[in-house]
Amino acid sequence: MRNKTTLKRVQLAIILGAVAVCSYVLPLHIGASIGYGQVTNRLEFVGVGVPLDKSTGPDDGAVLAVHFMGDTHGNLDTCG
Amino acid sequence: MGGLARRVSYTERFRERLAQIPSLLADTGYFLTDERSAHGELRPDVAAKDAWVAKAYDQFPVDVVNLSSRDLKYFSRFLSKPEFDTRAAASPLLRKLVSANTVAASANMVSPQPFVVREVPVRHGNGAAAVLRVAFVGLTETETAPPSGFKFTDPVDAAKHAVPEARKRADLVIVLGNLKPENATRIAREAPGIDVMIVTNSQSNGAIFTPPAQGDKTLILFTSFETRMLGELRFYRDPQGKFSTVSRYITLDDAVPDHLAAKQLTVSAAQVETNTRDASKKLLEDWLAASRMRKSSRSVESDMSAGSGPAYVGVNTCARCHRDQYLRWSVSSHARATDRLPPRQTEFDASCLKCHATGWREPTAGSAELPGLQSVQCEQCHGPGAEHASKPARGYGRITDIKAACSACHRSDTTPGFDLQVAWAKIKH
Repeated sequence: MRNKTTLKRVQLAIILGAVAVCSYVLPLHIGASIGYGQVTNRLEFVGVGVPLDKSTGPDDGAVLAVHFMGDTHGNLDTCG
Repeated sequence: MGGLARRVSYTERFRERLAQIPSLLADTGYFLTDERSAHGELRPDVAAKDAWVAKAYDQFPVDVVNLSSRDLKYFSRFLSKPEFDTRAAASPLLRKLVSANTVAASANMVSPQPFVVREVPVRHGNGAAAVLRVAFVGLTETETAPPSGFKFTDPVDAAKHAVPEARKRADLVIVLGNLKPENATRIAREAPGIDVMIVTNSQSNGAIFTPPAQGDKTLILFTSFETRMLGELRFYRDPQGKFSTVSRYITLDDAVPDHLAAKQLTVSAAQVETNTRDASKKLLEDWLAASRMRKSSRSVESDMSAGSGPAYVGVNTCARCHRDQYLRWSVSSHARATDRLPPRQTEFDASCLKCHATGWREPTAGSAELPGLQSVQCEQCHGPGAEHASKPARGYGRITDIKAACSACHRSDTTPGFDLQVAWAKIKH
């Protein structure tokens, strides 16, 4: 069970790493000016094993944070 | 990964540590279970589970929820006019549901609001308004058939109407969508005025993360698969009032501790789901055992005195005089109507017996008597026969409107493709 969990974590880390690299190397990320208020967007990942106090990050002057979720199909518990 | 208890832990810690950053919590939809019974109803265990999810969204409040077509099946029962205000007083979640393309098709039902506007205090006023107004518009795919009393309209057309209205009332317009990525892009292109779309990631084929996309001037973000990572979109505003954002995805693994009360609720919900499933199986098993016993070891006359109201006597009593009719019935599907029930134990509830057994009586206060006779026997259509059996006379149980009698059970949802003429030819007697 522990090996399986470790394997899943490694897989996730690889995926997140690849996405993070792609987001800086390829033009698919939202670096360009977009949006009706001329929104520019930057992508950040908080990966596995990051303590809660660090995962929230610092107060960086944001005027609003929208937390979003979905696609949970009635599942309140952990999965995967 | 994921889960309510970790999600609540994170959002609560965010509010504690970063109290200067106003935050809102949004759900893009498909947050309920949608597993249906053979006849398209929510299974009893699923309905019980969904009720607990709704309870969780009230106990650990979400600010706005996109009502997807998948979620409407559960909520449709609460969106009827006579009950809505009472229900909404007990469950504030009902007033947080948004959908611009779900519309009441009956005067008795309440349409969900197309969008809501949430106001948060402005952190750096710059002499501007004291609040930041954020509109959330809801849109859903329409692949699932709507429940009775509702219809879905085209999400693109709905967006074209709702977004300009939302734009008039808000500084930021965010669309919450349960949409295919290609439809999200189309909406962003054809319904100008959307700053950000946040779209449910149901089409990801298991990929945990889908990269953001851009549709004309609109930023399109996707929820992480099954919310194993919580999304966080931070907005910044420069002195000219222009926005920039950082979209963060927080992995909800075991480094994020469980919120105890949320974990407790999760455990209770799972227990209720299991109990409901077990109760369904037990109810069916007990009923089958009892009705089998009645068939084999008790005389049908003894059923005459069972329960309250007119008594049922069973097919064997009918057969004493109506032999030809009995023979015809005995080779029909009606004679095996109960046989279909055992393979679907977990979705069984007493109401199945309305049409899969004989002798159903609507439950009243203090009375939950189940029908005593298996399958669809003579008295299911002709009515209780005890009096007729004791004093046989012409006219008992005559059916004048066959269509009405059959459609009590054979509806489009229970028997798709049912053809009255063909069916009647099989059982005509």
